[in-house]
Parts: sequence; C-alpha cells; structure tokens
Amino acid sequence: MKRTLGVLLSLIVLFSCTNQTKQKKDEKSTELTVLTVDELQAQGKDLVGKEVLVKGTVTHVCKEAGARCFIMGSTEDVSVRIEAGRIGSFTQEQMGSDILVRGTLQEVQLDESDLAEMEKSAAAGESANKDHALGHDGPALHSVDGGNHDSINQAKKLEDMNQKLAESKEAYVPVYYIDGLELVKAKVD
Amino acid sequence: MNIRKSLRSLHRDFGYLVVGITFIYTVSGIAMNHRQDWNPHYSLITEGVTVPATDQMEYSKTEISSLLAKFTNRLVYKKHFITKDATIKIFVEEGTVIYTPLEGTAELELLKKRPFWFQINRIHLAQTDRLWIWISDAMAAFLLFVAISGLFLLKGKYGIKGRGLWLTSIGIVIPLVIIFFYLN
Repeated sequence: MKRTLGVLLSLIVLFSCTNQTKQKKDEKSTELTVLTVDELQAQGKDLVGKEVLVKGTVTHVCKEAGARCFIMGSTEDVSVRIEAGRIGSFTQEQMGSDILVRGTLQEVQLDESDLAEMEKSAAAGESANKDHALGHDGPALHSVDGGNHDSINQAKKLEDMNQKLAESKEAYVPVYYIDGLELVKAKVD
Repeated sequence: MNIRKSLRSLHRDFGYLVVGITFIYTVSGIAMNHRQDWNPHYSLITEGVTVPATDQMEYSKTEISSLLAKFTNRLVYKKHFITKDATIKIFVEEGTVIYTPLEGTAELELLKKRPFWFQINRIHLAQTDRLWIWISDAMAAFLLFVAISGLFLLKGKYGIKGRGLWLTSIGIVIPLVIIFFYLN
C-alpha cells in the first residue's frame, strides 16, 4: 500500500508541475475586429488562412458530440460552419444564442466534378453534403434527434451552388468555414 | 520483495483505482456505439399546437411569447426569425418551435439532457476542462499498467506462456483484422 501511495504521490507531483507550465491565455481576440457572418462571407477570399473574430446566432449544433455548429447572419441563408477545434465542443444549449468566436478561416473549393458527385449522391438518396457545403447533416439523424423542423433545403442549396459555379471566373465555388480557436463569449448581448 | 510480488500489489491497487473510470468509459462507450438508434446525450420531447391560420409574418416578442404559452411545456423565449419557407423559427431554451402562420400550426422540439448519460458522455469525450484531461490521462496510464502487468502475474499453463498467450493474441488480432480488412 505504501509503495502504491508513493507511486501515486510522485505522479500527482509530476502532473502538477507539468500543469503549471501551461501557456498564457491567448489575448489575440482583443486585437481583431468583430465581423458579422455577412461581412465574413463578403470578405472571405481575403481572409482565408487568417484569424477572424465572428459573431452570429447559433442555428444548429452537431447533435452527436457538438463537434461543430452553424451560425447565421442577417438571414438563414447567410451562415458559416464552425469546427469546434480547440474550443472543444458546442452544446445544444447554445442554439438560438449569439456567440462570438475566434478562429482561422478556411476554404473548401468545390469544382464541377464535386458538384456533379454531390448531385449524383443526392439523386441516389445518399448524403450529398461534401464538407458540409450544404449545411448540416441533421436530416440523417431525424429519427432519434428531432430536427424535422430544420428549414434547411439542401436541394435548393445545391441548385444555388451550380448557379454560382456557372457564374464563377475561377471555376469553383468557395465554401468558407472556421477552425475554432476560442469561444470568446458564449452569449453576446 | 521480488519484482513479481511488487507487480502483483501494484496491479491490485491500481486495479481498484481504475474501476470507476473503467465503468464510465465502458458504459458510455456502449451508449455512444448505438447513437444511430438513440441520442445518448439528449432525449427528444415534441408537442404541437394549433392556432387560427393567418398570413401575418411579422411578430413581436410579446406575440411570440403568447404563442409559446399555449404549449404545456413551459418555454423560455430566446429569439425568432422568418425563414425562407414562410415559417417563423423560434428558439427557446433547450429547443425550437416552428410556427407556420398560414397553416396555423406550431411544433415544438425540446432536447432535454439525459441525466447521468449526458455527464458521463461528456467525461468520455473529454469535453471538460484541462484538469479532467490530466486525470483521465493518468487513469489511462494506470489502466495500461494494469493490463500489461496482468500478463505476467500467473506462472504455468494459465500464464502468458500458455493459455494467456493465445487469449492475448486473439484480443490483439481482432482489432487488427478490423483495421486491415474494413478500415483500409
């Protein structure tokens, strides 16, 4: 017993010492300008790879483990996905709340073949949501999680995306999302 | 005290120490394995009410609160907005209401935390502060020690040189088969 307690005590001291070396709190959020989701989408091209601070209303939280959420801007059509990343996770309680998140803006470029593949999957009744470009995957879990009320229309979004691709000079449609670094405020007044 | 005896006493004591955390990880693990059949974190409560149909689409917070009062579940208003589908999406604490004025229907979905399950699943997924991560890392190390030390506790035909070797090998081969044949 003494031996076990000795080992335990040594480990506790070791963990305590290691824990004391944790990094200072990141204060970068105070240096960034707060963007709305609309502004983020409008300036997306210039912000890819950079840290951003964005606020919006949480309209969906991944129901499996809160690994991602979607926040909306002026309308439900203007939204952005936030991967929890270093934030850890989001919770259902955040639905409908305005949050302020710091993260790195990332871009997925969907080209003609991606959209064709998505249309093919949609026609076959399979998931056609490459990189969550069409929003969340909620409908797949409706039977156990509710979500029948989701007004998201993936078929319409896919149609819009094809329209954007036809008008695009770069031959791709950019889809922006954020790799979360910090939940600055869980609720924004 | 020889090595085997030390190993045995540490195996015994650490074994006792990790019972609690083993319980949490295994029970929560089974619960989450079946998340396509049930939501291990939240339970779903639904309710619908009917009101006179109208083509009005703009609503004040007071008007929405009056609508929410018609549900038997007590609802706390958070926010609402008009969707493209001509419905009003209302966020309430723990859920949402979709009000369709043209049809005069309002449907509620509440996601209530499952007591016990919600907490152990959060622990399992390390959706906690840093302290728990340190504790669970330490417990994982103890669990690994208990598993490895257990291999060398018995001598003879039931030990690692006999039956123990076969059973241990089977336990290692099963996940390897899954990795090579199903996950490649």
